[in-house]
Amino acid sequence: MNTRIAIISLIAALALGVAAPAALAAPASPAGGAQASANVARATVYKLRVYGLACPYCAYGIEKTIQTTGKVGKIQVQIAKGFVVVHMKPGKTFTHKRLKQLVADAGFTLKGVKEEHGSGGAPGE
Amino acid sequence: MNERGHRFAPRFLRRLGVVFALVGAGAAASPALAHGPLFSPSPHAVWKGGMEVHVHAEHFNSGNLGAPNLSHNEWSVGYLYGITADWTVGINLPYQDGFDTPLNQFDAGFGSGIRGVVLRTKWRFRREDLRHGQNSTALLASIRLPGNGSGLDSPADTHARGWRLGLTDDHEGLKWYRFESLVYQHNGTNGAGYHHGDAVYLNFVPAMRPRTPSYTQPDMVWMLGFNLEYRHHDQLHGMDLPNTGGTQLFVSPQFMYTIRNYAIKFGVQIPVYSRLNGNQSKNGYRVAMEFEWHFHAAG
Repeated sequence: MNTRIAIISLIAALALGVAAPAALAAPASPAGGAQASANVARATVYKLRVYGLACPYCAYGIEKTIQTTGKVGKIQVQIAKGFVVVHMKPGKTFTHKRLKQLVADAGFTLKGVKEEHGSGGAPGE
Repeated sequence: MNERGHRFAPRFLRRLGVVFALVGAGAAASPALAHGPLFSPSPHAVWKGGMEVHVHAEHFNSGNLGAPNLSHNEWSVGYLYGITADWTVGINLPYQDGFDTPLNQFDAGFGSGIRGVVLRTKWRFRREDLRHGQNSTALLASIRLPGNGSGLDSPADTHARGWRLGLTDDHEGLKWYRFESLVYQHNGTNGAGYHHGDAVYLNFVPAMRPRTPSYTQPDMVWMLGFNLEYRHHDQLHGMDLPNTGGTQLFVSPQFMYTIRNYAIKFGVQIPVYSRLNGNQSKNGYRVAMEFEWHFHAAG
């Protein structure tokens, strides 16, 4: 039984060792290259003032919740400043009510939204 | 050597298994959930549609019972799901390696094998989101089902069933944290009429983050837990047994290291004060490690 446990643990550790760096190396956004940059530059950008942000581990939920809508090109989470910058895909937008709901689903509170069109967006952390 | 056939496994493989268990795989009803301490609960929850897989490993030293080989290791795999941003449900699948100390002549202890599955839930009913932090309070409940996978859960095993109810509160800031919790644990009565005493746990864990966090950079939080445990007398057919129960205080230095959605926690729990009924040995130390992975249901 202990041999089996040792082997299972070894496989689990190796799997984590392979999966974690690959996942960490992946960009937060599928957008990339000059074409993507041009698209982002023409897209709507929402700068969200979010209350409750204190740790990166917990903030991961806000990125995933917004990203899984399929409308978003890039997301920048600025924990120390309390902002989340959402770069939309060209032609895609959110209502403020929808943004508030997405932030609430992630376990935070949306306190304000600044909307920009055709901007390159705010710098990340 | 116990009845699970340790003699068939080379010693280095056994040690390797323990090392990997401590490094990556992992214990029984770990109270840790999401961004919280190792030896006590926190009100943190995963987001709506979010999931957590964690592996937890613990080494228990049996204390000064005069039988050092009674130390054992536990590890478990756990899964959590966020039904809403403030309501989480989960399951833990624990495994124990080594013999658990029998509490007295009425308790059979527990050998190596699969222990009872733990079902758990947490409801964060208060959440105050601040400019750079969060205050929250949650109710938590868990139930340990009787183990039946290994055939080792004897009728005398009182560890294999029971339930917990708790209240936990925290403040989380960019630099300072604190976690408090009060947990009541009810243990089952075995076939011989023996009931391991119910327990109350009171925990306070201040914590500090030395560097301002950045979303894409590794983040380290240091914690120092104070865990007070009161256990009622064990009972046999409803009668208190004299040399059982009492109060103990533990100190548990620990840390949590995260990189985005991956976390590693490590800590030691050390007994510093004991006021036990009758003639008893105080608990030994615990060493625990946990690996957590957060991800979203929709990919």
